[in-house]
Amino acid sequence: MPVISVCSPKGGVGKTTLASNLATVFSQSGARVIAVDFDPQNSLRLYFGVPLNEERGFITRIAENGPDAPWIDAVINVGMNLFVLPFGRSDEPLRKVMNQAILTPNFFVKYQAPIFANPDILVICDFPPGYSDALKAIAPVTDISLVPLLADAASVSLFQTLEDNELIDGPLNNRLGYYIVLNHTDNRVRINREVQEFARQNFSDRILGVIHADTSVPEAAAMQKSVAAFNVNSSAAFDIEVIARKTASMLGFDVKQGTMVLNSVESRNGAQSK
Amino acid sequence: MKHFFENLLLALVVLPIMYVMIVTPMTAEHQFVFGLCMIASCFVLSNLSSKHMVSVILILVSVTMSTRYMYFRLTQTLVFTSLVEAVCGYILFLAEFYVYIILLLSSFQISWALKRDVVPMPRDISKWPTVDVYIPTYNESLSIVRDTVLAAQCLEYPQDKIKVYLLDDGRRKEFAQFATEAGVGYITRSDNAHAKAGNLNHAMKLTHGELIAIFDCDHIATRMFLQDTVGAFLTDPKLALIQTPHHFYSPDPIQRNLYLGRDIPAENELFYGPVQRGNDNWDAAFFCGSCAVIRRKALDEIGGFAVETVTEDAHTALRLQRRGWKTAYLNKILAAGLATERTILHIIQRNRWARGMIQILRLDNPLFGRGLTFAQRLCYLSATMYFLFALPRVVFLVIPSLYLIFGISVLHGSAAILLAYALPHLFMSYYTSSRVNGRSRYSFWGEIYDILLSFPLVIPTLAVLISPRHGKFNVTDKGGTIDKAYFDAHAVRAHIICAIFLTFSIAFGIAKYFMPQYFNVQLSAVLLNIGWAVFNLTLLTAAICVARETPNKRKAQRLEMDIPVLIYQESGICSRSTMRDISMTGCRIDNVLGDMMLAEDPVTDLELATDHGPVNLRVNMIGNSAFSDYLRFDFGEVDINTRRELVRLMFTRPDTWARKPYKQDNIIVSYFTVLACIWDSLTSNRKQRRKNKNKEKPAETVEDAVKKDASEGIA
Repeated sequence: MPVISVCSPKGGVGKTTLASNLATVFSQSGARVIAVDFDPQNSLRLYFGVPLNEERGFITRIAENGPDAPWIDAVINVGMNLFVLPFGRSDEPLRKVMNQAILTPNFFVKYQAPIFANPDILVICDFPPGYSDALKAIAPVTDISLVPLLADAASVSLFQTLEDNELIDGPLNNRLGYYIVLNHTDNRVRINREVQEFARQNFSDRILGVIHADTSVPEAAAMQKSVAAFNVNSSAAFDIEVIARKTASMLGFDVKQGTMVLNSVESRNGAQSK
Repeated sequence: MKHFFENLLLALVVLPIMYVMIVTPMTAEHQFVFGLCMIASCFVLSNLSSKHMVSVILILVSVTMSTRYMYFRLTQTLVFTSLVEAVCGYILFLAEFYVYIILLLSSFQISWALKRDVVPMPRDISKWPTVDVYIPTYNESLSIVRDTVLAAQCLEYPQDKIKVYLLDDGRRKEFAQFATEAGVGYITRSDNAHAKAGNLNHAMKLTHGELIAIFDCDHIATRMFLQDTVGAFLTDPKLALIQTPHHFYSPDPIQRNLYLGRDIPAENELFYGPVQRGNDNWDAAFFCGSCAVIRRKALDEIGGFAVETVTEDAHTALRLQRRGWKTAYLNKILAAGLATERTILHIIQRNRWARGMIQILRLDNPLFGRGLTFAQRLCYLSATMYFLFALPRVVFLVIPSLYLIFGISVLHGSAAILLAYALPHLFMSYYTSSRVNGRSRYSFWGEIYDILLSFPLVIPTLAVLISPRHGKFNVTDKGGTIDKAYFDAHAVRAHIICAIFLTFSIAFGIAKYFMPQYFNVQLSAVLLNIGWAVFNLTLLTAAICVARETPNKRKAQRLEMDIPVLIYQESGICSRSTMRDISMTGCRIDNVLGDMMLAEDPVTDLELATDHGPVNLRVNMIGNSAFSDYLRFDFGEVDINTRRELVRLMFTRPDTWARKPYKQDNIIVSYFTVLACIWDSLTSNRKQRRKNKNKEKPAETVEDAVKKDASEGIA
């Protein structure tokens, strides 16, 4: 049931990297995770070692079986507790069909319940930069949105854009709201420090965490290893784990000795109200 | 009123008993038994309870036994057969009388030590007074002053209410330049009239803060210094001064050369503990020149810092109190500085203190003049009179030899009766002070400190007593290093001569004892004097050992701490590790790189995760330690902002100087410790403080990081 969306008004800020690493961290903590790629670039699968020539995805299902086709058949198991749902190879008309389909009210609950309304599965969605129909469509079922940004001057104006709900002309979700992750920060660079300072002073309750610039991340991706497997002391891996832990606690997961038990926000609140 | 009558009643009961205990004459046997009974009952009482009331009773008994001894000395022992004996005898009596007076005064001083708490600052920041921070300097090197200034900038106080000033009496260009770079005020003047006091007074004319915080140029403040001290001024409008301890993060010569790594309270622990707390109880805590905050209004009223003596600090406090201002002592270490490096410098520094305090005694005697309460007079008298100690100390060292060599008998009476009176007096005063001050001063060490200073201070003491208006302020050199061990015979020349003299007299005494047929002596008296001389020689040897300078190479102080650190390699790989120790010039961290460490991918930067955000440093790795447990780095040149962050990290945490209290003193253990220290010093043994790797904290975990962020209010 819990759905995390990773989106950003800007490109090249590390959305796919964050989404894939979060999926790995959560799955290693014992949660069943599906990473869903809503980006037509179809590159999320590469982070999980899916071969380059394997180009099938949920959009392939739509092409084959129509707009209401169940996507679950396109899910690929890429590790213990870890699954990926690639976008698939597409063209413009096909994407139009898909966008129209997902924008129908209650699409995800009605037609994709095994993925998006499954209390045992944590869904992490990756999006293309800026506005996308998918981002708007997923908002009603999203629990929390993580927004990676770079700690540079361009990001400063984006803080307010986000605060004003301008990305999809409405809130990114109706539950826990959005949180900013300052990615690829290098404190040796003055502007990086200043932007962090600015963010802390003005949006401190919106800043979920900071991920240090660390070449371990791309190196690990190139070797198709998890970051921790490449460099067990990687600072970026540590930072991502901190962010995962905070996200988990906001979603109300129980984390016990490395095992994460999924409790949907509703069931947790329900238990409390009893 | 009720208390008054209770006290009156108590006095009516206690005083007659004390009177009888003091004046009743006894034979040697009776006195001996009486003394033993008193000692035994105090011993039992002391072991039954650690309550303060028991300490007060012990002080009372101790004072009574000492008074009984002095009464006996005055009435029965001042009988002499020759002029030489009479002169020597009266000199000894005067010396003992001085010690007795000091005992009375200090008993009064320390009997009710005040435990003052921090007065919290008001929530409303607009009520916080403005503060000028003064850092006076004259000839100290910039390398010392720099970190003090940077630490002062780290003080947590509203930025528009605090101004830091470097008061440079040396008129040095590089100091002015540094002050500008750092962003602090720079004040200098055309002359050096009245030394430090003059420097401070000059600055007072140019700045306008309601409060003035003063730090000697090596005293690095922790960042809560002002918030811990300023509150007291707001609740008490008559408060003029709050003094905090002078703590030293480098070992003083005695610690370095004689303690040799042992956990013995430093020399200043007694003063910045029981003594100042005791003073505070009688509203007589005094200014010590640094690590204090003073109210400008009060200073204006007395015309600024006192310039008449070379200890402007104590004299200023005395003046303030004469005008009815209150003072306070907060026993919380909020700053730390450098101890004097070498024995000779320690002696020179104390020479100034002694001269200044004796100047006050002569020029502005606290017993007389207006404005003070009786208790304040006693406390200030104690503080100033204490510095006459050099004269009696030398007398006590030499007296037994007079008898052993020349047969000059300075005490009339049998050895038995003298012992019977003296032992309870001596034992009780040692025992009581061990109980009351046992966590800040171990037995016999006070004597060693005094003996070290005694000979060099004799002439200055006499000179100032005779001519108090002369004397120059001298600055204590600090921040030096000692590369090789050496013996500074010059500093303790007189001590060595005295030690030889004592050794000779002990040998002579032994000869007399075993060949009584050739000498006309009382054997028991010879034995008594040999014992006394041996005791003297022990303490004297300990004092001489302090001049055996052991190397003090490390210029930058190294502090152990466990904080997360990031290691940047040239390729951009960034790994997490834990820092284990740090100095201003380098650090040591856990080696987590393992096979990530490649010759072609060297470490270029570190990022320290401090409470105040990250600090980045360019580093060079020292040595090739691929397989060792630790990586060692050298910082190279750091810019002023980075240096400030290092200072903030290393020296300004509120708990930087917190330490476990010292173990309670034990007289016998302490005596053997003295012997062991002498032995180790003579044989160049140094106790190595063993580093315990298991004690190191584990690296920061994800949970720690999440909790830390939560406490800082980040998402």
